[in-house]
Amino acid sequence: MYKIGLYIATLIVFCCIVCPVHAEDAKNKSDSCSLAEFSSKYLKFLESGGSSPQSVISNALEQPDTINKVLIDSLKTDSGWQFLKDINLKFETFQANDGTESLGFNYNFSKDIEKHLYSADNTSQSGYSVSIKLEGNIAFDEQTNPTNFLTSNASIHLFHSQGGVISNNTSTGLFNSLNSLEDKMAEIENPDDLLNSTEYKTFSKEIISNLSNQYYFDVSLIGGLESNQSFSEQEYYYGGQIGFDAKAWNPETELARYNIFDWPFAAIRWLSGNDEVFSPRGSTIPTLLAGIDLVDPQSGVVKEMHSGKSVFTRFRTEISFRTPLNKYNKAFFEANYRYYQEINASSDIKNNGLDNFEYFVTAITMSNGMFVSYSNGRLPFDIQKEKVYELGFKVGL
Amino acid sequence: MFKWSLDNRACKTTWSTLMELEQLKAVFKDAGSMKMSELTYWNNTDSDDMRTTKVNAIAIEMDNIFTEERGAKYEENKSKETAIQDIKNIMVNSDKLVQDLAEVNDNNYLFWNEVK
Repeated sequence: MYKIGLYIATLIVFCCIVCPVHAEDAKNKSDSCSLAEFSSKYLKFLESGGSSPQSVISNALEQPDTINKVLIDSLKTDSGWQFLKDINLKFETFQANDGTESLGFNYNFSKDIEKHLYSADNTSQSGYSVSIKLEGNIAFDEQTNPTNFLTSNASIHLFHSQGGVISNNTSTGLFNSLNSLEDKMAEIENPDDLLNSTEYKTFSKEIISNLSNQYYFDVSLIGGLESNQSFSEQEYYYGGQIGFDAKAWNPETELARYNIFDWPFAAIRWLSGNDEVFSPRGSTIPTLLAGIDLVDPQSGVVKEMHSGKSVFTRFRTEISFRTPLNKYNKAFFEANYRYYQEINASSDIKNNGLDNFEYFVTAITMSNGMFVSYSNGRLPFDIQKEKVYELGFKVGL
Repeated sequence: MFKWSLDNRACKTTWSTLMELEQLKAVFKDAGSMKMSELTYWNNTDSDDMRTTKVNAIAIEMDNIFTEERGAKYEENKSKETAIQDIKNIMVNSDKLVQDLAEVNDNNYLFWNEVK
């Protein structure tokens, strides 16, 4: 807890003090890098006559954001590449610890092939869905890939959502009134004026008074392939997974008030004058995933270490948290923790440190693209444990 | 092409619902061009399975608010399944805009006193 607190404090200090000073200079940078590296490259660029038109064009063509723009333009037209539209594909510059850079891309794709609600009343809904998901990073130079871990899976989900709204508490008069307030709110063009307006306060009070806690459960059967990008390490996995998400949409509820994960950030918002009172967000209660898999290694170190048996059992879990740092949701704190533990691992595997993998990443992100992040640990197939600090910008398209 | 407009109830109700769910705090004229990755639920470090779990819950809650609190009905040949699934398919994509979300909601819901 002490270490995590220290990371958070470090990130906040970086973000509040260091970043704004360098914000304008760094806006031209297309991806993340340290301040020292950025300064050094910028000086080299100027010294080498980097401001000549040819040099500028050449550099621009090599930038991942240029490629992303071309990609997005291609997808807007009927070019035959439209099937890529549902794949979230982004080119990026990856950077290894020794400073080596390489172009690459990350992709993710998630789609429900089928969804059916077999039980739905006003406030509770149950059903099933069949989904496929793909995600990963591919670097043209594999050594620069920061998260060399690709997953592809198919899953069948049974889900249930309970609560969220208080049913039968509305009337046609209220629908008319809310529409009228919404019309007036939508015409306000200044964020302060909006949040301080009588219309917004009245609208918000009416809506929130009819919101309740929502509990979402998901139980799934899942099977897929995990690998590094060269497929020299690969393993199939089959198992079960549970997901749980609780949200206290009404901030007056006990569940919202006792969202202790948000207390430090509620204090920051309150002390910085962003919130008038200490107000933990019930909408930011962490989400939890946990699963047990049978893992069938096909190649690589994991396969070699399990030469005596064809499959092994693995427990895994993931926890995610994100909360705003100001009232306009322009800055966020986010964190994600993943843990993989082989059950009944042999002493050889334990001695080689391959029985468990732990990965923690936290970041402060801003709507202008600026971010500062810290990650520690490793995912399956990572042999070395790494601590990585990043400070940089992500430029939107 | 779908237009983010003050004259469209789907745009206004999508915006105000995201405000009440604390996913954004922006004035209407700026909200349409916001990406999903700018909303509160979008944690850049999440796995796809994690993000899908979060999005499924929010999609159901959005449907709850539209139908229970705002008097919306489903358009002809549309259902709760298709409406929730369309919201989810937009919200799992970081580059989709709030305007894109309003468009699928406009296609799936007949909002209260909506003029077609």
